[in-house]
Amino acid sequence: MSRLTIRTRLVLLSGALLAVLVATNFYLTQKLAVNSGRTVVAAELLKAIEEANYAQIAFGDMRYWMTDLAVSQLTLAERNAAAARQRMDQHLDKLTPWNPERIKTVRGEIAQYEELATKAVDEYANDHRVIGNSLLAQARMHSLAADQLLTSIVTELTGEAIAARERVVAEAAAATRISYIIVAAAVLAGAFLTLLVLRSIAVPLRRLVVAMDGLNAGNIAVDIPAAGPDEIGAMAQTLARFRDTLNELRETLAQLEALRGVGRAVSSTLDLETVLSLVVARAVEFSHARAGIIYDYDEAEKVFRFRMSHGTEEELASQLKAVPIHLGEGAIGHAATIGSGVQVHDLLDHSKFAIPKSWDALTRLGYRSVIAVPLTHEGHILGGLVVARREAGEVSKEVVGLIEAFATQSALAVRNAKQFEEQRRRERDLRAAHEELKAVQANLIHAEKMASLGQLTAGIAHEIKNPLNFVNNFAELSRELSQELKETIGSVAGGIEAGARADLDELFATLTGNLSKIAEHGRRADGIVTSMLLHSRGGSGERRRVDLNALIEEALNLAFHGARAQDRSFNIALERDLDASMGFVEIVPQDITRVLLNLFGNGFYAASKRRREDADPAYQPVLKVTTRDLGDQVEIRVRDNGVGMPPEVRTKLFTPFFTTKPTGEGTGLGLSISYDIVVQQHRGTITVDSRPGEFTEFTLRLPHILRGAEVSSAARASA
Amino acid sequence: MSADNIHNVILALLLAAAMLFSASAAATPEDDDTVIAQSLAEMLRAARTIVSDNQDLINNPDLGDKHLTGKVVVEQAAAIYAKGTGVDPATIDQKTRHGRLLHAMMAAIEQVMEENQVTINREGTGFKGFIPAVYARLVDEAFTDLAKGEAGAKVTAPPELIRNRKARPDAWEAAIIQTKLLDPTWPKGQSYSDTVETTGRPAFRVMVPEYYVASCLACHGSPKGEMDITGYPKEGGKLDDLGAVISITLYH
Repeated sequence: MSRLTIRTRLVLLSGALLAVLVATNFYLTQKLAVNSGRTVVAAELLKAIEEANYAQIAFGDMRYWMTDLAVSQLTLAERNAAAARQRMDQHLDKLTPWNPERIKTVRGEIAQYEELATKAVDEYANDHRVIGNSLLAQARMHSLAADQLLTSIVTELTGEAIAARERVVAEAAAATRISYIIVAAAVLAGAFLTLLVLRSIAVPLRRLVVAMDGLNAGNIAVDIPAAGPDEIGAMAQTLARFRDTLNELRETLAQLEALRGVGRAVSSTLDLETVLSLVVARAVEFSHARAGIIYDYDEAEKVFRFRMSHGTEEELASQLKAVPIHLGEGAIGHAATIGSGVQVHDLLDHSKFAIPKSWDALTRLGYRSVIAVPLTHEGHILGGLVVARREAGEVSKEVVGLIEAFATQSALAVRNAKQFEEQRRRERDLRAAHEELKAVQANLIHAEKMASLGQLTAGIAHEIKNPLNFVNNFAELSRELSQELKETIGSVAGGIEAGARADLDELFATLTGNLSKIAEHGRRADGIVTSMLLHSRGGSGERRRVDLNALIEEALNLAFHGARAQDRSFNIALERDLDASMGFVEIVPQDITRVLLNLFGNGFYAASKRRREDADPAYQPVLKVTTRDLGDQVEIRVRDNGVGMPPEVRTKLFTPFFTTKPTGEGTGLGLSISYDIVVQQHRGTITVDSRPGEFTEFTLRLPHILRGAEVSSAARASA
Repeated sequence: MSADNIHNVILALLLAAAMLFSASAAATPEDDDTVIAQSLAEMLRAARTIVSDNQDLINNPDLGDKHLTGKVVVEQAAAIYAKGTGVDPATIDQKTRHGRLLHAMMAAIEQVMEENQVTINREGTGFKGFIPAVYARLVDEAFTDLAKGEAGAKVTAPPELIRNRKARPDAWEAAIIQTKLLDPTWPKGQSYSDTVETTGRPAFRVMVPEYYVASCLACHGSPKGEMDITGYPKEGGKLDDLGAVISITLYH
C-alpha cells in the first residue's frame, strides 16, 4: 500500500466503492427496467380498463340521450347522443388492440342499438308510439349485449392487471432484498479498505509529525522517516531538506557570527597580529580545514611572504617562511593574479599554474587541497589567505565566500594597520620636519647672526688680511732668512765647537719648523678669511651670454688640477656628455663657475673617500658631467660614484655651515652658496639624488634667458 | 320602421290587392298562394305573439285558471291580424281556399290552447315550458292535420338553431335558408317563394324570415352556451339575426 501515492490509494478506494455502487445500481436498474416494463403493462391494462369503463359510461350516456331524444325530440339530446357515441368510439378504438374481435362484436351490437333507437325516435316524432316502443325494446336487447361484452372485457382486463401488479411487487421485493445484501457487503468492504488506507496514511504521518516536533524543538538530529514514493514521502523529503536548510542556516549563522567577531576585532583593535590570528583560525574552523596561512605581499619584489599560520606543522611553517611565493605562482599567486579565490581540488593532480616548493611539504604532510584568496584593497594586493585541507575535492561556494569574506576583513585589517603605520610614519616625518624646521630656524637665526657677523667679519677679515699677509710674508721671509743664516753659519762652522754646532743645527731646525707652521697656518687663516669675504660679498658679477659647455670644461679642468695639486695621488675618470646644441646661456659666469667648482670638488672628495674606504680593489672613481637643452631651460647633471649620502644628510645638504668633512677640510658654506647662486640669483633649481655606497648626482636647471622681472628679483636676491 | 311593420305593410298591400282581384278579375295561382301563405303566417305569428305576451301569466304558479282559453287567443290573434293587415279574418270567405286554410289555422290555434289548458292553469308550477316556439310548433302540427293534405306549416330555422328535431328544415328549406335568407345581400324581411315538388306533389312553398327581437334574446341571446329558462343552452343570437323561418307549403 505504501508504494502507492495517497491520491492513488484514495482513487482506488473511491473506485472500488464506486464500482460496487455502480454494480448495485446496474442490477437495480435492470430489475427496475424489467419491473418498469411490467408496470407499464399493468398501467396499460389499467388504462384499458379505464377505456372500457369510459366506453361503458359513454354508451350509457348515448342510451340516455337517445331515450331523452325519443321523449323530448330536442336536437340537444340528439347532439349529446352523437357526442357520447363519438366518445365511446374513441374509447373502443383504444380498446381494440386488447381484443379486436370482441370489440368488433361490441361495435356491431352498439350499431344495431343505435339504428333501432334512431328509428324509434323517428317513430316517436311521427307520433307512432307503439312502433317506437317496439323498436326501442329491440334496441334495448343490443344495448344489454354490448353492456355485457364491455363488462366482461373490464373483468378480464382487471384480472390481468392484478396479476401484473403482483408480479411487479414480487420482483421489487426480491430486488430490494438483493440490493440490501450488496449494500451491506459494500459497506463492510468499504470500511475495511478505508481503514487500510487511513492506516497507510496516518502511521507515517504521525512519524512525520514527531519529526517536525523534534525539528521545531531544535533537534537537528531527529529521525526523519524514510522518503517513500507517496505524498508523505515527498513531505518527508521536504522535511529532510528543511532540516538540511536549518542546519545550513545554523552554520551560516555561526559563520556570520564569526565574521561579525572578526569584523568587531578589525574595528576594535589595530593589533594586526591579533586580527590576522583570529581570521586565520576562523577560516580554518569554518572551512573544516587543517591549517591556514596568511601571507604579506611585497610589492617591490612581487612575492608573497609568510606572515603567520594556524594549525601548520613546524616543518611546513619553516618551509613557508623560507620560500616566498612569486606572483602567479601557486594557489595564492594565481589567485592574486586573477583577483579572486582559487580552489585546488587535488594537490597531487594539478597543472594549471606553476607549483611552488612549499607544495612538496604540503603533500608530504598529507594535505590534499587548498583554497587561496588574495587580500586586496582598492585593486592593490596586500597579502593572501590560504587554508589547506587533508581531503581532496571541492568545497562549497558558501565556504569559499566565507573565506573571501575573511580575506576582505583581513585586507581591511592590513589596510588599517598600514594606514596606522603610515599615520605613525607621517607623525614621525612631521616631528622630524618640525625638528628640522626648528633647526632651520636656528640656522636662519644663526645665518642672520652670521649675516650680521659676516658684515662684521668682512671688515675684520679685511683688516686681518693685511696683517695676515704681513705674517705670512714675513714668516716666509724669516724661513728663507733662517735658511740663509744657517748656510752662513755653516760656512763658518769650523770655528764653532761641535756641541755648539749641534745645538745650533737643532735651533735652526726648530726655527725653520716653526716658521713653516706659521706660514702653513697663516695660509689657512688666509683661506678662511678669503672664504669669509666671498660669502659675505654675495653676487657681484655681470650677467652675460656664455657658452655653458666651455665654462663647464674650464671649471672641470681647474677643479681636477687643483685637486691634483693638493694630492698627487688623486685620480678620477672624467666623463663628459655635453649637449652640443645647447648654445649660449645667460648667466653670471664667475658665480656659476664657483658652483661648478664646489660640485666637482665635492664629487672628487666623495670618490676619493670611497676609494680609501672601499675594500673593492676594482673600484674606479668616476665623475660624469652631462648637459641637456630642455628648451626654456638647460640641465647640468654632476654624478659621482662615491660614498653617497644617507637621506638625513640630503635634507641638510644646503644648510649653511653643514659639512660632513672633518674639521679643517670644509667650511659648510660651499653648497649653501651654490644654492643661493642657482636658486635665488639665477631662478634655477638644484636637486640631489643619492644612494649610500653607490652614487650622488646633483641636477641643476637654469633658464636660458632670465626675463626682466626675474632679473630684478634675482638682483634683489643677490643684493 | 321595423321589419314587422314593413312585413305588415307588404302583407296589407297583398291582401288588399287579392281582395281587389277577387272582385274584379281572376288572380294567378301564384298570387293566391302568396297571399294565402302570408296570411297563414301572419295569423300564426299573431297567436304566437299572444302567448309570448302572456308568459308571465302562464308561468304564474299562484294563479290557477288563467282564462287564456283557445277562444280568447283566437279573438286576440284575429284582432292583431286585422290590425296588422287591415283585414278582419271573419270577412274572408271560408269557401275560398284562403278562407278555408285561414280558419284551419285559427282552429289549430284554438285547439292547441284548449289542449294545454291543464298545463297553463297548473298551480304551484312556475315555468311550464309553454313558450311561443312550442306553441307555434304545436299549432303548425295541428294546422297540418286540419289542412288535410292541402297545406302544411312549420316554424323552422337555420339547422344550428334548431332545438326540436320536429322543426328541422327539409332539404329544400335548408338550401333556401342557406343560399337566400342568410345571404347578406338578401333584403331584410323579404320572403322567398317557389313552386317545388314536395313529398311527390307539386306545391307552392313560401319561406317567411323572422328576426330576433329583444324578447327572443332572453333564451336565444348571449352569453352563448348559458342555459336559458328551459334548460337549453343559448345560441348567442343578436338583435335582427335570422332566428326562425315560417315555412308554408300549399299543395296543388
